[in-house]
Amino acid sequence: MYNVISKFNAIKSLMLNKRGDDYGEKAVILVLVVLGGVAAFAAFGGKIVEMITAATGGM
Amino acid sequence: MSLNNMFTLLFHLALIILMCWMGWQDWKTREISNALSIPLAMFGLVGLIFRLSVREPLAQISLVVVVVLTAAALRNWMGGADWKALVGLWGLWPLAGFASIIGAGLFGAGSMIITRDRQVSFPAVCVFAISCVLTLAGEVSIMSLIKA
Repeated sequence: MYNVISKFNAIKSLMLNKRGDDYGEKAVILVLVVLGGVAAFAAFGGKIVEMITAATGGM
Repeated sequence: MSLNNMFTLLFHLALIILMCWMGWQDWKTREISNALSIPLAMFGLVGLIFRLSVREPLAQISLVVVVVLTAAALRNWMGGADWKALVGLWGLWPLAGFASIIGAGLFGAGSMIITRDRQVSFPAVCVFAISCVLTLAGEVSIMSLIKA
């Protein structure tokens, strides 16, 4: 319960944060992570969705 | 150009005007008013939920990216305003969101090389606005090619 409340508070403070700075190194890493994530999802996303559908179908 | 394409272009133009306004604020003060950024993030989330509900193919990828961006922003990798602008773009105009992330990465790499400082900070929403303008220019040129 405490974790849920602290996550909610973190997201609330993020939502109210006005700061518009981005950092060079972190922006580059973020691009690589997003590109990797999109490529992985494009490659295996269909299978993952099928597995979730099959798993929930048995319930 | 069909009426549907015209409506889409006008919607993207409205988003660009908002992004340019936010980019100008970011350039001048390094801060963005919550009156602009919170509604954009909220509309983006509503748009993302709507796209997921109608089972649009790209919506699942947008959801994954929004989750990754939220995790990064919670670890203080970017400002809150940057996160809200990106969530809004990925929810309402995923192509521009993708272009914005790529643009910020390129700008960040360029600034690191020029300043030789890995922690160099830059006004990211300006870069997002420029990326959105370039995306719209690409869309308009492709639409005019399709018409021809």
